[in-house]
Amino acid sequence: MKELDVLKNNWQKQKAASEIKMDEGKITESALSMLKKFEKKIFRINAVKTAGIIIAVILLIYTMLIATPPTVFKTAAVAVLLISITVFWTRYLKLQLKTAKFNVKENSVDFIDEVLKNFSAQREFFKKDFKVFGAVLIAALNIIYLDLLNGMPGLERIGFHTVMSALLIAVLFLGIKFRMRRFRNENAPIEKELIKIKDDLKESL
Amino acid sequence: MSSEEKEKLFNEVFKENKDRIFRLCYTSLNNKDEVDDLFQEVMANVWRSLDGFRNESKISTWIYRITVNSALLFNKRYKTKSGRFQNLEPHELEEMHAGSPFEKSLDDDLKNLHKAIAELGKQDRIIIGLFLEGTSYEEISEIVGISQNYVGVKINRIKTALAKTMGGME
Repeated sequence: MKELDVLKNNWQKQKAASEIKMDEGKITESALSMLKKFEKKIFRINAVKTAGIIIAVILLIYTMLIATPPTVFKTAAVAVLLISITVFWTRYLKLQLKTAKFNVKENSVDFIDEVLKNFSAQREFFKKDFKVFGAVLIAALNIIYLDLLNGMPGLERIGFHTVMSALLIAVLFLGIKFRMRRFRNENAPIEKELIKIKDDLKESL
Repeated sequence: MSSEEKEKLFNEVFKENKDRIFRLCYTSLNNKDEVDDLFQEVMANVWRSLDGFRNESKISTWIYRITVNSALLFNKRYKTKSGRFQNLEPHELEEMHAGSPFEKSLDDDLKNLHKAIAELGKQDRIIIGLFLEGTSYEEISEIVGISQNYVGVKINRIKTALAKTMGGME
């Protein structure tokens, strides 16, 4: 029997049994695993955001309707805010990536199309729906200010409304910019890789 | 890293390391029949992790670490999924799969060495696999997550165990 150090040389000459290529199933599995990781990350971020929204809504209701006497204007504004936040957030959460819904086994290429469609819908949501939500938010907060600033000279009131609205527009603008940057940094590389995988799969079919 | 650069790097990594990865996959596995699946899983993991490779460690260390982690997970998954092999001893599994193309290409000494390695525990199989690839103690220590001194102790113990199993090898 030869010594281990001699066998070591022979050991390193052993070749892989065959030219193994990445098969379709493994590529799909790899893509799916990457998406699941991304989905988990987004889920955690959204859980924190949801908690933040709930706290903000509770504080808003408490400040506007419990700690201070409720008025028609404040109640209407809070109602508008509650409805718009609920609609916006539900739509947003519904648009999130859910890998469990993908029919991977039946057709390994189709799920890539579903993901790409989903990412595109998310992008559109921020480009269009978020602006509508922003407009509703500004309108509701202006209604609240209309009530809170009651009794103040007209010019000052206009100043307050203008500054507050301008600030909100700036915040919303930055929010959209930030979201688009995240799309570019996080979603776009995944999209690019999925398109590449899809092309590779098509070639191998 | 652009997708073209990534693909180029992956092809280089694949070309340079496929035999090494294959051998380490084979050595680490409980069931040698699964070697192709594990190999492909390792390559898929290498592809996914390429963006995160920062040149902070040697590419071989990085690849070995991916291989070792994939193998450990793979063995764990296989153990959970497949009940029918659970009661078999490593040498029995070895006998079941003695006819694979890889094994047929080996000479008797290497066949015996593979058989003896299959009798070892999972961490020892990985350590000796890395040692036989010519990996330094420092790298093995980094990959497996034990101290360099302990790597030395382990290798000596493994050598003794292999000599005992193979009969007469020093």
